[in-house]
Formats: sequence, C-alpha cells, structure tokens
Amino acid sequence: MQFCSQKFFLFFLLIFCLYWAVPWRRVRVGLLLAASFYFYASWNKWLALLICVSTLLDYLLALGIEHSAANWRRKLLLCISLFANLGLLCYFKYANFFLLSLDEALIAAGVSTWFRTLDVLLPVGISFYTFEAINYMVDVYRRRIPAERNLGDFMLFILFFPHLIAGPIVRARDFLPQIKRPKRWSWARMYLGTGYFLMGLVKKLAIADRMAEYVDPVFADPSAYRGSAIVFAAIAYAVQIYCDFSGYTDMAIGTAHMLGYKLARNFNLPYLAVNIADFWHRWHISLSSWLRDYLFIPLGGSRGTRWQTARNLLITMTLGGLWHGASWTFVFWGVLHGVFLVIHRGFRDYCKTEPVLERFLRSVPGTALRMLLTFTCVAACWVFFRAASFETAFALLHRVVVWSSGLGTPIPMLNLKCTLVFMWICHAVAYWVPWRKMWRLPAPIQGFAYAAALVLAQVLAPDAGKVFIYFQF
Amino acid sequence: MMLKEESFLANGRRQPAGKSDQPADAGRSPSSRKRLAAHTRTCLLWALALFAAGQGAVLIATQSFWPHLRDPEFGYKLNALRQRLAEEPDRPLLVLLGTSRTGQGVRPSAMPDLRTPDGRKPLVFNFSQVGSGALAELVTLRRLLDAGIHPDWLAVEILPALLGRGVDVFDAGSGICRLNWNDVRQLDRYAADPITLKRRWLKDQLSPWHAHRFSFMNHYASDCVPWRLRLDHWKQLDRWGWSDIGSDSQPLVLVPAALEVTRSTYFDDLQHLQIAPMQDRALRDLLAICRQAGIPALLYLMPEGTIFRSWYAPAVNACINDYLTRLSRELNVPVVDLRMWMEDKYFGDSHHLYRMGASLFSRRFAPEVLGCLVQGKLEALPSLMAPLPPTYPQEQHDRTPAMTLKSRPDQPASPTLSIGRNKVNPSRAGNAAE
Repeated sequence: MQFCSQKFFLFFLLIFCLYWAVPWRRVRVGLLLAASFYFYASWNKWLALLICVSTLLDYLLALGIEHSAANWRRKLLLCISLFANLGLLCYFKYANFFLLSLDEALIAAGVSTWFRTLDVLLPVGISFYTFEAINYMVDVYRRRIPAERNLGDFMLFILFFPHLIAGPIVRARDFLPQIKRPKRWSWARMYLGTGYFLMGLVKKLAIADRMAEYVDPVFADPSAYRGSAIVFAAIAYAVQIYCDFSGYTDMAIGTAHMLGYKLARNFNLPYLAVNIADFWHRWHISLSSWLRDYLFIPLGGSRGTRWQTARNLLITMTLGGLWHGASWTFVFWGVLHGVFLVIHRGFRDYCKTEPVLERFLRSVPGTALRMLLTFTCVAACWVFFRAASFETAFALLHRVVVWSSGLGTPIPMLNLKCTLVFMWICHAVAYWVPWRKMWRLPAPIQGFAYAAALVLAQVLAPDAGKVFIYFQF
Repeated sequence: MMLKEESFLANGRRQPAGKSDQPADAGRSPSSRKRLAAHTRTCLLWALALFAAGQGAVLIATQSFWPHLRDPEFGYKLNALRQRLAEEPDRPLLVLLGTSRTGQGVRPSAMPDLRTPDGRKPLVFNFSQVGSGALAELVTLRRLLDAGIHPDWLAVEILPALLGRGVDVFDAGSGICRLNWNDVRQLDRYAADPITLKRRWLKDQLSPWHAHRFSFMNHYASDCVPWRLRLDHWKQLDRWGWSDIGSDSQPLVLVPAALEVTRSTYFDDLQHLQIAPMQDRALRDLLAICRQAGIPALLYLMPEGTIFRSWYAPAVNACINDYLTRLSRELNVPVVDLRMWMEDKYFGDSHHLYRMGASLFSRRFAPEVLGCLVQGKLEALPSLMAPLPPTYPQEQHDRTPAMTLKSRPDQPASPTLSIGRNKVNPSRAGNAAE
C-alpha cells in the first residue's frame, strides 16, 4: 500500500476518523497497532507476523536486561537481541549477496562450487525497523531509557505505519513518551500535517516520478546516449532520489502529525550543503545520526589519531552503504562517501593553516563554489547508487568523460529545466522566507495553495505509480 | 524543502525532544490559541472547498462544454466537421470511420470531386481515430448521431489485427476516461465485466484532473510528456480530419524502429487471431444502426506493406477472409480489400502511409471506391471480398444469422438497437432517403 495510492487514502481516512472518534488512549493505541499490522500485512502477512515475533523477542529481552544486575547477563541478553535482529537482516537481505559473492570469488580462483541461492522474500522496511529495535536495545542496555513495560506501546513504537517502511528511523526515547501522552485534537496540527503530506505528494508524483523518465532509459542502456544526456540523467537522478525519499518522509511526518505524533526530521535542504560532512548532516538525518551514535562513536569516533578517525569514517560509511542494499555498487557508494569525508577532514585542517583560502571559501562565491563541488561529488556518487552494476556505472562515467555521441535526453529538456527552476524556488523560499510569515497569509490564499498542490500532484502524476526508491532498503 | 514547524508550533521556540507531540498550539496564550485554531480550520476548509470546486468544474467542463479535453481526437474532429457543415450546409456528407491508417492515409482534400447521381458534390470527412476497433467506431457513430450529424454514407475501415482483440481502445488502460455516461451505458453490453467498467469510469469521474491529466498535458505542455505518452496528433489535423503528419519532401524509406513498434503491436495478433465476439457484435450493431438510420455503408481494408502482410499466419488470413466474406453475405454489406493497393515505398512502418502515399491513395480511393458508394453502383466496386446481391442496399435485413463464434450466452448475437433518442438532422435524413 503506497502512500500516494487511493487505497492508502481510504485506509488513512478510516483510521483517522476512528482514531479521533474514540476518546480512550488505550483504544487509540490498539487501533493504530491493528492499522499498522494491516498496513504491513497488505504486502505480506507472514512477514508481518515475523516482525511481531521479532518485536516480542526484543520486548522480553529488554525487560530481561533491565531486571538483570549482573553485567555479563545484560551483555549476553543484548548480544542475543543483536544477533537475532542482525541475523534476520542478514538472512533476508544479505544471504544471497554473500553466497553469490563467495561463489564468484571461488569460481575466479578456479574452485568449483555448489552454492545455491536461497529463495527468500525481502521484508520491506527490514533495515529501518531493525535499526529502531537496535537503538532501543542499546539504549536500555546503557540505561539511557527504561525498558518499556507495555507490550502494545512497544509494538506501536516499532510498527507505527507512517515510519514502518522507509523511516525516518525513530528513537525510542523520542517516540515512546509520545505514545503515553494523551492526544488532543488540534486544527493547527492537522493543518501542518496536511501541509507536509501535500508537499510529499507533490515531491513524489510531480517531481520524482517525472525525473524517472529521464533516468530510467539512460541507466538501462548507457551506450545509446550521448555525454550530455548522461549528465542530465545524473542530475535528474539526484533530484529524483531526493524528492522520492524526502517526499516519502514528508508524507510519513504529515500522517503522523495528523494522528498527533511527531517524527524526527530527516532532510534539511541537503543539496545546499557546503561540504560532504555538511551533506550528511542534512541528508537522511535519522540514519546518519544513528550511524554516528551506534557505530562511529563506539568505534572510537574522532577521538583517536587522524588515521584512526579516517578508519572509523570509512568503516561507518562502508557499512552505511551496505545497509542501503545488498550489492557491491552500494558498498562502493559508501566507500566513496567515506573517502570524501576523509579528504574533507584533511582539507579542513589544511585550510586552518591558510587564512586567505579559508576567507575565500567562506565568502559568497566561495560558498557557491563549495556547494557546486559538493553537489557534483554527491551526484557522481549517485551514479554508483543507481546503476545496476559496475559495468553500467563506469560506462556512464566513461561516456561523460570522453563525451560520446548518441541519443539526446529521453524526454525534452524543458521538463527538467522547469523542475530545476521549481526546486530552486522552493529551496529559496524554504531558506529565506520565515514560515510564520507564510501562515499569516489570508485563509483563502493558503487554502488555494493547498488545493493547487493537490491538483498539481494529480495532473503531473505519471501513468503508473512508481514504488518509492527506499522501499527496497 | 522543510516546513519550519518548530516556529509554527511554538512561537519560534524550538521544542525539547520528547515534548514534540504536544498540541500544536501549546505555549500560546488562550486567545492566540483560539485565533490559530480558527485560522487553520478556515484554511483547511477553503482548501477542501476549492479542491472540490476544481474537480467539479473540470467534470462539468469535460462532460459538457469541452468534450475535446475528455476525448481530444473526437472533440477536434467534431468541431472541424461542424465547421465544414456550417460552411456548406447543402452538401451531402460522407464520413470515414477507422484507425490511424485511415487517419493518415485518406486525405479528402487530395480527392477528386465525387458526384452523386443527382449531381451534388458530397463532403468527405475523415473521422478516424487512433486505435479504433469496431467498438470505438460504433461509439463514434452513435456520438455523431447524438450530436445531430447524420452522414449520408459511411465508409468503415476494418483493421484485421484488431478483430481478435477482446478489448477496444476505450476499454483499455486510460481510454475509459474518454467516455461519457451515454457511452458507458451503451458499452455495458460489450464489456467482459460491465460492473468493473462502470466502477472504473465512476472512479475517474471522482478525480477528473487526474483522469484527464494526459489530455491536459498534451494540450498545454506537450513537451513535458514522455514520447511514449505523447498523443497530440490531433494538433496536426487538416480541415477534413486528415492527420497531416510529415511532409512531401519526407524520404520514402522504411523506418526500422517504427517497423519494430508495429511488429510488437500486431505480430502476435496476426499469428493467433480468432474473431473476438465483442468485435463481431460491435460491427454488426454498427451496420444495424446504419440500416435503421438509412445510411448506406461499406467496409474496407486499408493498404498494407509486404512485410506487414507477411505476418499473417495462413490460418489467420483464412479466418479473416472467411469472416469478412460471410459478414458481407449475411449483412449485404460490401467489403473492399485494398491491402495490395500501394507499393512498399509509401509506408514508413509497413502499414501507415506517408503523406505522398496518402495523396496517391486518396486520388484512387475516391473515384474507385467512394464514388461507387455515393452513386449506388456497388457492383462496380473493386476488390470485393464477396459478390453483392442485386438487391443491395434497398433490402433492409434485420436478420443476422448466428455465426460460429463464441458469444456470451446472456447476450443475443443480434440485439435490437434503438436510435430513437438520436437527434437525427431531418435534412440529412432526407438526403439519406434519396
């Protein structure tokens, strides 16, 4: 059930009405839990049961950790939980990847193999809810939060349908208290939630899915297109993945607001980042902060030597890349970002010794240059993220560097130009215009803006709805 | 693009983690809270009202004032035909129904003048529509009659490959949004699942902006439409409904990519075709309407290139020939097979004629086929698939013997049709009676 489908609208409308019609908190939690289970079971009911079982296990283990005084027992229970969560993730997501990679390596070494791939179905959103479960277990182990005693509340934390499939990755310490608190109807919150949802809908249907028309044919057959078409396809993919993922997040935040919950912020104008570290502070914030808190810092963070920091960055980003998908192209994408982060740290230290250079970089043209360079690096990395194989990715980059001839863009450039201008205006408005000034506009104008956004999404929607890119992760 | 919600929710103060689900107006004074609630409620109600009004306006517009937004090809051709009739109200009307083959291949402006036995010059109008099978042609004829346009003669193209398809252009994909309520009611009996047809149509009417989005985009921003969804050929219609695509200087060569598209569209049909009951029923109903309205009609097969003709499996060819021959005999309607009429060089994809081919074909088609129709000399028609009985067209047959086709048991093969509600133009009806 996609957020931008009619089925979801009807589903949400029903849940929304029932939710605010019943006055009792426990009934509301039960209703949301049932709705979330139905939402996930609409993909696969057996996998919905699997999440429930894994959540129940985490619930019991967390209680066990809290009640244990002995450190070794607490550690053992945490290890069991991590093993169970990561084991499920590895089995469903990475087993075939590792088997195939091993198979190819052995064949390359001249050894005959007998491996057969497993016939497994990837549960949607498994990477997201696994990380949520891990952050809860680690926080309970570190005594940062108490273990949740109410099974229903805990299950809602994991299964809450707006964030279940593709995040944002919520933290237990932020979300569990929200479940406990009684909810009061608020028009302002409804208005905000509707705004978020509409913004996400426009991003997904009017921008991301239209950009796919530039991207998909070029990435499917790079040899047929000329260098300029490939450059535009790479730019279009940067726009597509941002609008697709942040569009999903906006819809998730919007639906959660309408039900009285607030989800974590996940994007903050990432393509205005002035360096790669800044980019990761603005892109998929819930994942980058998770990686920082539960991987980078436990590895030692930036407290050690320069080399240790570089190693920690590379490990974190490589695993971050692998988290995205079971393919070496994702791993390579993570490694590239890790390398860029290491280079950035080195360059930053170098700039501190060169005041003139630093002054220039902090000036308006210098900042624009840094933004452009950061965007170029990010867009180049996206090529590996999007390409089905290294051959495709290198063929694309080769045709750009050698500037080959071939077909032009799959659809006229006007579409891409209009989209880029529209994106630029939206970024400028979001960056410079205070939100409070906008909501003080007369009600008919604001109402017209909302209605126009919905109509725009309806008119620009593609012929067949595309699945959100991050659903595969 | 992130709403700065913290400032919106709490007067600019960032809320601490864990307190963020507090009501949005928390931290405000009671009067400010009330104002905010009233303002946001009004905004949402305005949004809802404007959205509903927008949907309603488009629904009314597409169903009544601007049918060209709902079904652009029909709408624009209807407008063009009305203009021609207004300019020359005394000329009898000959309408051609068919597919894009007729659309691009029959050029009325290139035809020599036709003459009726009483010396009048008929107005020939190409009312073909892309992808039209028998059902779409039937819908078009009914719409024309409903619009008060009563052709004096009708030439109906048969695209053999479409005879085997269980769905027509209106029933497939987004084609259903081109229908109006009258069409839906009439198509009811041809659909494999009438309830689903109606449900899909109603669903489209609930969000007409979405249902007609490709029409809007093709009208107002066709550069933003991907090539595969670009359907704006109606922008190149001439005054007589011919699709004026290409130019006279166009090189007459076969385009491999276009041929491949044609092959992927029709090859399978031509290898395994069996006449679909729905197509047969629609064709018979169309001819029955012609008989009841006194419109002499003929069926014709447009020219095809050698490559296209080679795709017919022998059994399929025999099946089509047998079907059309029997149809011709049973309904006393002439069927003219023109598949061999044009040389290969005049086709870009082995079944659509180039502009030059269209002119050549039309110059021959008009006197040899359409001329016979308007003069009532049907025995002189070339390439007839079955000889005509001498009584044609005076004998009005209501009998349509059952053919060896699978048809739905709940639907008669030969229904009684009513065109009583059609606003038939009396003067044109008079012409037809002549």
